[in-house]
Amino acid sequence: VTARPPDVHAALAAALCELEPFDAPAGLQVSVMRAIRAEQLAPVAAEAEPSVSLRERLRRARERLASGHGPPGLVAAAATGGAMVLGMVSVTAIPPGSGAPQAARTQTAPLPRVFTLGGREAPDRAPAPMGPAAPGFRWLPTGSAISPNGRTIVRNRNLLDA
Amino acid sequence: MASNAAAVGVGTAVDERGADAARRESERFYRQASDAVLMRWAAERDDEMAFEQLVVRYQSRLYTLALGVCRSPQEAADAAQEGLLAAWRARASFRGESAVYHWLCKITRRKAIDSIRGRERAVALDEEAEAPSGGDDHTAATTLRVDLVDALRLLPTEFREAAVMAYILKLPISQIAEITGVPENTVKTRLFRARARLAALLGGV
Repeated sequence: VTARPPDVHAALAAALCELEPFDAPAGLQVSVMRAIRAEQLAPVAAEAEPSVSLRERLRRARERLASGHGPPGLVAAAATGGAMVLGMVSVTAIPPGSGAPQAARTQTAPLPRVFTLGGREAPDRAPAPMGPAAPGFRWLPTGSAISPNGRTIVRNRNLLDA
Repeated sequence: MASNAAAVGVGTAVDERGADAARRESERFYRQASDAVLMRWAAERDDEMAFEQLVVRYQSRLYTLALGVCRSPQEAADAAQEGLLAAWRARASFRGESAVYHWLCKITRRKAIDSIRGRERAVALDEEAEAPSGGDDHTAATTLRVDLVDALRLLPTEFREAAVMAYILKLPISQIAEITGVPENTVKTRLFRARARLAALLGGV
């Protein structure tokens, strides 16, 4: 029995409808969010002018946060003296052909140094848990904290480990 | 604003076990939020978790859409990533005039097309492309699936993306027309021709 052309088309359409969307490659979600967080740091890096003192940078950061703007990493910077912001993004080298998207593969260069502490470069990694959360911060069910002005969320476990 | 208000209402200073429970509650909160609400939180509060939920929700479908344009899985993954990043950057410009998913589709498709144009891969396919072959050890259903996927890859871009959007992503004709920027009748014609081309490639099914 030979199917008439419309039946062939219907059969094809039905067969195609059985195809599920293809699984996104492992790491796509991580790479997207990593790139977003790296971009969030860009304004911070732009503020890190050599001529401006750390105290002044932190004051600016707090001002921005108080107005409800700025990346969440700034809150951590303001609360911990600056180094913590570097812990917001971890960069992992993923080899080509691993299925990971481009940004995840190519983000192997170190992130820009955002703040300097006492004339030294801030460490690449976030420091160990730093004790109680900054005064005034409140828990959120996200596992994060909310800043004293109630308008900015900090998503950094180190700040929250009391 | 609504997210934080609700979250603050639930969250208090709690111990570790309470924090775990609260975290689970928060995750449920984001999972259950509508696309429009998640997008609003992302736009108004730079809420990465809200946007991440959209990524989780749609990454596979956007990847499939990109695959419908690019053909190469690696290129499709890059296009999907670029599309999602572009959507994050443009979050403040989302006006809610279309569904969030369709907006994401539009951006991802544009990135995928940019990708193939940028790499000079937008080459019209040979109309007499060889029919693909299936593996001997496959079941009949698996073989059909493999054949279909291979045959899809051999379609010209505009036919392939129409077929992917209509049959795999199950988007309505009107939405495909909006995303691709062509009239609905053109979409219908592309689908008809895609089916005819597939039928030829698959030897009449």
